[in-house]
Amino acid sequence: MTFLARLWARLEALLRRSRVDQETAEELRFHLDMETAKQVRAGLAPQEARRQAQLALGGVSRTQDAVRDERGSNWLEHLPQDLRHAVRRLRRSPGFTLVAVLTLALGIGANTAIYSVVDGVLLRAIPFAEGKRLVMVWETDRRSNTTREPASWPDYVDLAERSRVLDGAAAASGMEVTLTPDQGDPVRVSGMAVTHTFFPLVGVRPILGRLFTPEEDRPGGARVTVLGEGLWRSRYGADPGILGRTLRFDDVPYEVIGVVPHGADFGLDQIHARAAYHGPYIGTGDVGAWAPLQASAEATPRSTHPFFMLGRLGPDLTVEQAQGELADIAADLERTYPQENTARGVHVESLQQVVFGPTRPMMLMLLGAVALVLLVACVNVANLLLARGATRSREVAVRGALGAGFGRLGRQCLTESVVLALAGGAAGVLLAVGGLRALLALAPADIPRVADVGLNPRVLIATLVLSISVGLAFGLVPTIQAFHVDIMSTIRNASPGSSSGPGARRFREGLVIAELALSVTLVVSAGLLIRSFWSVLNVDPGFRADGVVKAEFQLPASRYPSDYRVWPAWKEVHAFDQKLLEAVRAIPGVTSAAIANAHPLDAGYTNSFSVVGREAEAENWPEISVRAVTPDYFTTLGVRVETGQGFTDADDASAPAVAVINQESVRRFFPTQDPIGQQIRFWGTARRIVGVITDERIHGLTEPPPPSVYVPTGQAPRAAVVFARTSGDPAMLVEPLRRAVLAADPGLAVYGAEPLTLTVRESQAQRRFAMLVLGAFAGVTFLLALVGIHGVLSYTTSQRTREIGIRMALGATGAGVTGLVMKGGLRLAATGTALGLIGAALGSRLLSGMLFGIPRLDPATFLVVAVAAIGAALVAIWLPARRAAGVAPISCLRAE
Amino acid sequence: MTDERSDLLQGTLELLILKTISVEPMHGWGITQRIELISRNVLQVNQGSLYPALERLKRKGWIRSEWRVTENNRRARFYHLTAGGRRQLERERETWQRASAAVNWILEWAGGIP
Repeated sequence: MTFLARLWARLEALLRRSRVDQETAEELRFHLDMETAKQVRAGLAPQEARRQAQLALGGVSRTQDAVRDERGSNWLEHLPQDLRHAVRRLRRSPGFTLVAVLTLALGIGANTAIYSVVDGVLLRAIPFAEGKRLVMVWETDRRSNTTREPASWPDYVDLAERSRVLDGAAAASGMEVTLTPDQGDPVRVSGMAVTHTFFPLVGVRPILGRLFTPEEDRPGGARVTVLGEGLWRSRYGADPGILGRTLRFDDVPYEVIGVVPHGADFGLDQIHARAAYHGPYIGTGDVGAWAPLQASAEATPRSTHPFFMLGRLGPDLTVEQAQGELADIAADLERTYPQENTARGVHVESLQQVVFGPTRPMMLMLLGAVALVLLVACVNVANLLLARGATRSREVAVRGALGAGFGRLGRQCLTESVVLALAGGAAGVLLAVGGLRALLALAPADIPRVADVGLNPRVLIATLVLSISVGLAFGLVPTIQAFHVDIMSTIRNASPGSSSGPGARRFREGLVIAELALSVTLVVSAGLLIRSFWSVLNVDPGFRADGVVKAEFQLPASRYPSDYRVWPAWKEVHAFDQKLLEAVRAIPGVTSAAIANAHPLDAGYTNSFSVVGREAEAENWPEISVRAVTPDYFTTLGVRVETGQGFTDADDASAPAVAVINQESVRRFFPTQDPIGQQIRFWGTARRIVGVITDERIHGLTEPPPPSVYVPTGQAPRAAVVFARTSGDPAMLVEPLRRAVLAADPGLAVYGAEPLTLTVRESQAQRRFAMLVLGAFAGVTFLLALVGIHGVLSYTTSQRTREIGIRMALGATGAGVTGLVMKGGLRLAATGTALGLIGAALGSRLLSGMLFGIPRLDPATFLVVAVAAIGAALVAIWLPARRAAGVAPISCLRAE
Repeated sequence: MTDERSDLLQGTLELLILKTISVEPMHGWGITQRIELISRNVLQVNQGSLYPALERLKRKGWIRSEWRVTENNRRARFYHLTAGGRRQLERERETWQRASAAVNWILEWAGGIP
């Protein structure tokens, strides 16, 4: 019989009970009547006959009870009674109950909060049809060792057409666009240009209107847009009348033809984040506007790599098969187009891996950590229950002697611990609501789908199941202990708790060692993350972020024409740069101002290049990061000019072309020569190198700086971000800087206006998140462990009062007694700490991807935690040890 | 009177119940009377343990009960054997006979090795 069927049978029996009982009563009444009649026939008076009959039967109600017992004990029948009993007992000791419930609430609450994050981020189905079959096709470059580059348009077309493993393919490219509404300020909107195959490929259907047609996806096709659900709801009040309306993006009118649901941009942020480089796309939120890619080999030739290629694996085909086939095609392309495709290959990766790859280890680490928190909480409560169980053994013994079955007693113990765990679970959910809010406030925006995380019914059910299992698990310990109570000896022995023999004590001490070990493991792990974070903060980024404010914008091509025939004499852009710099310099408190095409933590873009006279060598050189900056950039950002000089205002479109390179470029390309005076050629222009500057870590603080070349904006008009350095508080400059940009061009959408220190901090958000959360868990767990060790030692010491009293009566000094207790406590602390260090050494494998600048088994961290743990444990055991020394021998002997 | 009576061996009560109602369906009181009558008052059923035993047999699926009207026009619960109960009766009868034969051999033993 299945469990449910059995449960149903019991429920039914419960409902039928009264009827069945009545029937038994009637049957017994019949029996009595018959027996009475027989006795009367034998000559007894009716009354006496009845009495005899009842005696023979042995009492109606007793027989009825016996019959009911035969029907099988029905735990459901006893449940309300057991529950009442449990609640009454818990209310009788409010202190114990409060401590236990709070401890459990911490453990269960932490689990609920973390599980809802894991559930929302990792476990929920991805919003694409058969998402497991979607793959990302990256291009690779053997010269620069990059494995995740966007593809060129002709490569995409060739790969997509020739592949048999892929069932379909699409290309996409993110962009930041400015939406100019009919009234109000322009707003920045994340946009995505996609081939018409994109939505069908991922299986997204419009919630309104239609998607792109092949005709619209050709060069010169209609200017149409599909809106994201978020933008449609927030700006247009979910108005269905949006279809057919014209919106202005970057001053270009687009006709709205449809709306796609929330989640249609799943994974695109992470694709951009993991790419070696990409166009201007911030990617931390909803894609608001979609447009057809309308790409062509003329506009974007094989030498440019602007597009991300996605594919769908044919049914039952693997990533490896796709990798094999596409690599062959890529090798073929490399032979056919040596000019553009030398050293180029492909790297196929499942979309889920791209999206969740960097987040999964952290999530698993946090899940592991909360599991430890819960374990320690359970151990603490089990310990409390054990100590209580010892004082309860007399009650158990008495009730056992009065005939309560041990099954029933065990069930009552379990009911009590489950009630306790459920109360803890309920309080835990409340804690989780607050905790989750704090978690989400801390959580970095680049965790996929983190905005959708919340307490949902699935999480709550998981919490309920967890609470009940926890209650059953730690309830089992005192229940088993209760079974071992020897009724006679316990009742005879009046002193409470004397049933706790050496076995029980050793068990409790084992629990303390276990919880100390678990918490030390967590503390070491947190310590490693904190040390790593510290190392990251101490990395020299190559620029000085403090005192600098930045603001970003995109110049629309409509008002700032990108006419390559007159490059770099784009007078509109140059005029804007001048106007903006003047406006910024006019802000009180600004000591210098600069404009660049990317901020120092933005990877920007790369270009192939050569050194004049060494063209043959360049075949094997990786691409170089290109940064366009105004002359004051190096001063404003605090980037040191190592040799030579920076730029001046004289370096304009009419002056000889100049460039500055970073030290990494010198190491890679000029290991023996002096670079100053050499000529570096890209974008068809040879530029004289005039200086060498410090490496800026443009790929992030923890990544090595790539070779970079800097050119003056006067000779490469590419404005996208403005900086201001101030001697005062940079936060005060955010708003003035934004207004300065709007003063230079009121039609721009300004974004990312913030102190640069904030940008730096945000770049480490995931690391900081992991560190803070793990640190909090480690702290809580360690505190619980200290409470546990203190509790157990206090308890065992109070049990030994008589022994201590006798020792002191026989001449032991207070210090000697304190030492005795301390020695016992120290043994526990040392064992627990040692085991914890071993656990941490093993567990640090999980962390290795999150460490920076320190070895996995960083001796300093391990040593500091070991000393701190034993030190804190000493304080926790000092109190009971002192109390032991205070035992007055007389009073304790009298107490006997 | 008590001298001639014998306590039922544990487990034999179930065998006796099965046998008694294998002849005809009977109510609880009837079963006690029938056992006493057939055993010529040697065996007396402890009435307090009869009904739990009936419940036990019912749970094992060997007997079933139904409410009927007696000759005196009273409602009473009658028990009858199921097919499984009949098989169980045969099994228990064999076990009993083997055991009682064995006990008899021992009681009649006069020494020596047979």
